[in-house]
Amino acid sequence: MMGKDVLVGNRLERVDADTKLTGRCRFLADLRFDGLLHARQARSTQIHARLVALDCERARHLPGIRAVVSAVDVPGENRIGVIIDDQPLFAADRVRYLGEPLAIVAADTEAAATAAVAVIEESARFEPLPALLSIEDSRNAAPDAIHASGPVASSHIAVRGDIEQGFAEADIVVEAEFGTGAQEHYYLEPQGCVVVPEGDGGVTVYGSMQCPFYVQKAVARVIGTTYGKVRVIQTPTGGAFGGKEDIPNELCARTALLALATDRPVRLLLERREDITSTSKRHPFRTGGRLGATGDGRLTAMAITHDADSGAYATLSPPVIFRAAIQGVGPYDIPTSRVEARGWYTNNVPSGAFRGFGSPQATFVHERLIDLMASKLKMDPVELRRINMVREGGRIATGQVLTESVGALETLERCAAAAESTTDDRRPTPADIALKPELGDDPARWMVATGFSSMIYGNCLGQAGWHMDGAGASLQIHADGSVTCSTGLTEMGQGSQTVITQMVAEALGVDPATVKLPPIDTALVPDSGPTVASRNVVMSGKAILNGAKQLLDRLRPLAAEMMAAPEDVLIFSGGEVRRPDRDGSALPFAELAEMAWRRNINLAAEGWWHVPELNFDPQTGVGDAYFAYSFATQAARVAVDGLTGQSHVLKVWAAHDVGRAVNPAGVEGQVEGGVVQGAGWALGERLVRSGGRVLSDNLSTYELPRSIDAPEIETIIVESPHSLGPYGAKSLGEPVIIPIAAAIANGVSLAIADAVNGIPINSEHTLLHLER
Amino acid sequence: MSRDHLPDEEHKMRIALHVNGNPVEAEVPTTMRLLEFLRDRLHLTGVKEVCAEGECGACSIMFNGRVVNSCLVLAVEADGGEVVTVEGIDHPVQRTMRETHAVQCGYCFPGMVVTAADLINKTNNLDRATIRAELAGNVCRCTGYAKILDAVEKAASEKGN
Repeated sequence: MMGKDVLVGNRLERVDADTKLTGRCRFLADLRFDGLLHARQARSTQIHARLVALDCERARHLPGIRAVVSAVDVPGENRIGVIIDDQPLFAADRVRYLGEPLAIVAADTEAAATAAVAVIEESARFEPLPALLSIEDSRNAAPDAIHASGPVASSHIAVRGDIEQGFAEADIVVEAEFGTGAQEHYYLEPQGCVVVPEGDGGVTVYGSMQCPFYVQKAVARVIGTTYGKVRVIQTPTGGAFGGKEDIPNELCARTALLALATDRPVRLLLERREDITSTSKRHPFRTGGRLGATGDGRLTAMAITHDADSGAYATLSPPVIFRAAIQGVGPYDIPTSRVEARGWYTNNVPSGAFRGFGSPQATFVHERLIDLMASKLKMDPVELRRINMVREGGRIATGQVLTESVGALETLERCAAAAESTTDDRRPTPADIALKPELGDDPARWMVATGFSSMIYGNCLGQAGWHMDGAGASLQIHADGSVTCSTGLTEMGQGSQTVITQMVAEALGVDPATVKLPPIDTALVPDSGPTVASRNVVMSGKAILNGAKQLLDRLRPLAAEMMAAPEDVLIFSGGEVRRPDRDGSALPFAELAEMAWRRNINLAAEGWWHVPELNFDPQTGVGDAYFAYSFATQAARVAVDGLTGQSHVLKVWAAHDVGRAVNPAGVEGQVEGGVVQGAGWALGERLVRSGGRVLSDNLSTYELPRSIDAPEIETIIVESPHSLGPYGAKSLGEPVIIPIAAAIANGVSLAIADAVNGIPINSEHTLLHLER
Repeated sequence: MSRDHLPDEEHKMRIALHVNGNPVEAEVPTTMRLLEFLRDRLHLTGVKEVCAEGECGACSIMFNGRVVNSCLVLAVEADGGEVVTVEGIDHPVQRTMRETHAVQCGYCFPGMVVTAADLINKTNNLDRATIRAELAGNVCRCTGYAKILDAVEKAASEKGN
């Protein structure tokens, strides 16, 4: 298959570029609906309390109010938990975080809705309970202080060999504590949805979201109807990063109740401060790590204990904790290891899905441990990684043998070859000064070093989510030869629609300009699971290949007849059918399609693919947890300012094993965006909380990376194709953000000759340590 | 947000201005932001609301020849003025942004296009460091800025030729 691909591997321009560059792309807030009502949610003003009274009656009679819905008005189940069933849609008798929804209001205007919300919030009577705002609080409280099921929302282990023996064989052991902070997604488009009642008890939901099939199930459960009566259409989505995985479930479900109560379309749009203070964040982690090695740099044992703050409800904690455990030792073949990961309930706003799903936190730890060990061994950190990196046929943290597509070492070698090395005097080099001229003014003020970081990423949902790791593609060839392809996984900015267009055109041999992808719509394609775990290109791609094969099997005999040629010589490519054995003989695809239509040949096909079965055992922590793995190594050139302690990232080299780059420009775009988002988490994005309240609630207090903060980034594409990936492709969307924070911390640690084991990196701390 | 707590929408004023070259007259509440006027009254929904506090640049428009955040301007302040939104812009940087794969989710781009086009129009011999500094008021969460900088550099260098 490889080698003759025409479109796969090309830098096809984004199919959505023009509408987005002219302001014509219609996002949710840009859509118009007749008779639209405006929704707002009433929220808990307490962090943790019994809810003893709530009066919605007064609000119902305020001017402009069309409906008020709270726990007692839910016709279906008042439940919203996505994996663990621990979360009410509306608080009924208990609130577990500040801002937990109590009721929702539909009104003629936003101002009327806001006024009614204030009345409802004032009516709530609470009996306060102790607020548990840290993992330590949760550990020290009664086991049922937050949930009857206990303080741990989720736990997973990954086990390989006898770790006691591993440490016994070590000549040197390093041990440290690590901490990583929360992160706000700050997708630029706020959360929002419009729900339209259909008159039959069902609804059509429009919204900015990652997972239309999650929303379909959540809405049906709450309004008490069948899945089929809930149609969900994704509107162009202005960024998500995990933040629109599960949150749209609850927003759409509450809004659907109002649409049914009023029999009118209802829109819920979160204002920015409300969005930041009430929706999920990246899990903060506290971790203990221990690593053993022989004197010549062979790792013998790694022991990791991750404790994460899950917040008030589990939401996506189970898969986050799963990844932190499975990928806990990184891309290294260590004979013995044990990773334990737990998520603790607290009374913070729930932690949830955020690009990387526990992997950036886990990678921060194993990559800091590797550098701490290298320092102790007085060995080049790249060399220590080289010695221990998993090769084809090697094993990872669960004992899984990697039989193919192991590009880990190549990412390390190519990244190391490209990156500027750390010099003995750690002063700016001419290359550094070229990147940041300020470094040349007073070179003695700056300490400069290069930190490395490598990662492993299990593709798609893995053993924990195998039951929903299938995806479809509905392909239709029209009589004029143009093609419509509906897939079930969403575009949220990452470029999947462009890559899907390429794969459809490649698979059918048509011009990509003739391929149209409708909005993602639950009515058009089978339940394809959630758009998470970097699974879109892999899953949709395989489904497209399956569907295209069905169509070509039907078209090939007709083409052979029309061309008077044997079937097996025909090549479908570039909008025509050719027979290479006779020059100049070509049948336009449009002519073939029209003839097929005249012959009543079925020109629609449903492609499907699901991930092969996996044998990981959660009880023992042993087995195959994912069917394929992506690998990456990133290097960060950092300069620490001796005057302020501030760390600057000058340049990043990012080598990613993507299996196959379907669109190299798209790969670069993902890498550049992920690196900057991860650098923000490492350096500037400090989520400040006080007493259960998020204080850094907008851009003036929560600092996103801007153009002046972003480093130059060199993307190095490594292609180690996987036999099950479409055209060999593997996951990319999350790997791009995973290694960078550790690379920066490793660089800063080298620059100041002291260990930085927590992020966001504190300039004051850096300054104090480099001055000593 | 603050506009919900403003006392009333009874105080209104008539305004007359040009938007994307077209004359517009309207009666607007004195509390209405220019952002809302453009989006809700004129249906120019290319103008995006993101932070609503003048920090992100997604609502950037041209107002009397300068780039401003339309969330920080009242509609009544635009009386007699000239407004250009992304819908009124046809600039080579839109093509170079497409060519360099600069766009991802696209939500920041209406503001980014306005800012970049104005920068290129008004400045000669733009270098990358200057472009970085000039785009610092427009936040993008997807792209890491690299390909946006590439696009602006490319359009600027084409202008020089």
